[in-house]
Amino acid sequence: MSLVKEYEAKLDSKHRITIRGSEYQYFQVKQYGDGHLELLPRVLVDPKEISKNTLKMMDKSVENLRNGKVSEPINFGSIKED
Amino acid sequence: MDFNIRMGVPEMEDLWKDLCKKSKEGTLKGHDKKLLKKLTKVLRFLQNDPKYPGLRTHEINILSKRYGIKVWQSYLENNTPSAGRLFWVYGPERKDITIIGIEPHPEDKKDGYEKIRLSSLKNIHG
Repeated sequence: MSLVKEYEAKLDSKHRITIRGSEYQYFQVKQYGDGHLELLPRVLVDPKEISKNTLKMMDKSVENLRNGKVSEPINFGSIKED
Repeated sequence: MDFNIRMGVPEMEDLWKDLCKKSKEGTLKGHDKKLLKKLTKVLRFLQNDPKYPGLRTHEINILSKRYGIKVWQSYLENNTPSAGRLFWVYGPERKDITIIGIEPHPEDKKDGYEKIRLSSLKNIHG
């Protein structure tokens, strides 16, 4: 894995740091005892794959949406809570 | 603002109704019981606050481009590598959210269901 960028950063008055030009929006943050931090992109944020069945369902759903054929609002009242 | 939650396809609506019916009858078991619990929790959050942090809601740009409408993804659970996902859009009316997809799909088998890479998708909207 090659280094793409290296720079110095300072926490602002609200303890925030600016990350420059990141490809990801969500990170898992690990804080270590010696003060160093790791930011790991949450790779599940943008799924690289999707099932063919789910995609087919979405194609059909969007078509129905455009034709005004979606369901009535669902009712949570019919669920028996444990 | 409370949103109305609608289903984009009849099979999603049927799945929901079937789970609710079994829940009412007390015949819901195993996987179906867990699925209904997760779905109910997530759909209630969507109804009240689609941006609730626990949902990890975010836009899936590739799908938004495909359909010409913003497509959002929310997780059915957290801290699970195989967490289920719901895909949804705002609309058709201002107070509506329509569920357009669920992963894993109810018909996906445990092993070997065919997957597609999102990067290979083409736009299909007019």
